[in-house]
Amino acid sequence: MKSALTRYRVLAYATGVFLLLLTLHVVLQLAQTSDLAWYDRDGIGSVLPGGRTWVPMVHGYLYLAYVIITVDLWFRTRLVVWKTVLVVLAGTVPFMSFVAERWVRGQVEPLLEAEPADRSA
Amino acid sequence: MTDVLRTALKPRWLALLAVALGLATVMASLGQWQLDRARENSRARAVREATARPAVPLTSLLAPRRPLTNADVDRPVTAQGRWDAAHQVLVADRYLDGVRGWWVLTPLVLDGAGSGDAVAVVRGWVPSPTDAAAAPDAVPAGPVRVQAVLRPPEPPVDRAPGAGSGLPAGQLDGVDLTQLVQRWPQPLIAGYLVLTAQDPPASGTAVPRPVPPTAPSSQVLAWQNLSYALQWFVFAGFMLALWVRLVRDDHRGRLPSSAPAADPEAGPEPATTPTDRGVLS
Repeated sequence: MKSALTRYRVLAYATGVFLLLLTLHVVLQLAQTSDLAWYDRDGIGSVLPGGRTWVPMVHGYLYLAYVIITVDLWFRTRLVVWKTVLVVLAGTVPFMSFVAERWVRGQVEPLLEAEPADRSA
Repeated sequence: MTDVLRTALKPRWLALLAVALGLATVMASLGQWQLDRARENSRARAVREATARPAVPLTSLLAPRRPLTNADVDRPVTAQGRWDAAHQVLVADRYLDGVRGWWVLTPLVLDGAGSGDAVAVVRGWVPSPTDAAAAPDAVPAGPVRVQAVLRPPEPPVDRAPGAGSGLPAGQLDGVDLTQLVQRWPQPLIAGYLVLTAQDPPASGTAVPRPVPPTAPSSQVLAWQNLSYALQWFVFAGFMLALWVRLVRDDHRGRLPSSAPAADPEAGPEPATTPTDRGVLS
């Protein structure tokens, strides 16, 4: 359970950071002036080389992993279902995955203390 | 096995299966949509964007012996001059709507800026080299303003020194400037145009069919959509896997009827029931 929580926390932060990068990317795209349609502009690519491609792509894979890891954590902890659904959705709202991460940590850490120490994973 | 089936057929699992199948269907179709976009993106969108840029005079971009840069590929350009019908050639093995034919390639001798220089222009496509539209006397005479898309020259066809293309006289096997400079007397611009419009417009019946300006695919965008497509398909599969896992847990009697873990009084489940087994274990 402990390592499942660690996996969740790593992904919550990674997804959160990349979602912020993605948000910045879209904001930059909207702010840039160009002949191209806004979604085809360079966006964050003007700051991070190739960012226009890899930021959305990496965020996609990270979110995929985030959902799977969150469900995995749920199987181990049986947190309230509808709140877990909110945790999954929080990964799509800027800054919310950090809030969700705090809530999950608050829920799971007491479970860890109550858990026998020798259980792995 | 039948016991598992009986568990799976419980109303709540059937309902959840319907939800999971519904979500998986939506996700799979989103994945399909991204695949379609990936396919469409790589070609049509690249062309649309490249050709959506405002047209600039050709001579502001290029002159003889000045190389074409990537940024100017597929840029819409304008040029004015006169067609040099006597030097028109045909480019063999060009397809339009799946039909094999010939491109009609005519030098446009420029007026004004770059006067006297020539640029190769694909005026259109003909189904046969003897088509009336391919005849030199079908080329409009007099000054003309053209709108076109700028394309990079095609690489020379690789063949043994001295070997010919095997094509009849007046036909080439590519828009190959190294061959054109030997045939055409004017200094040539390092690229060719695909005609989109001309003023005065071509009249009469002997007009070659317009050739759509094609562009190379943009692999980058396609990869992004392929990536999204894959993610949607994985999500769809994950929905169904999640349902299977829930039913299996219920069958083994591990699923709490409600979700008690959030209830501080209930605490974690007893260690004898292996709650600590995630989807990954």
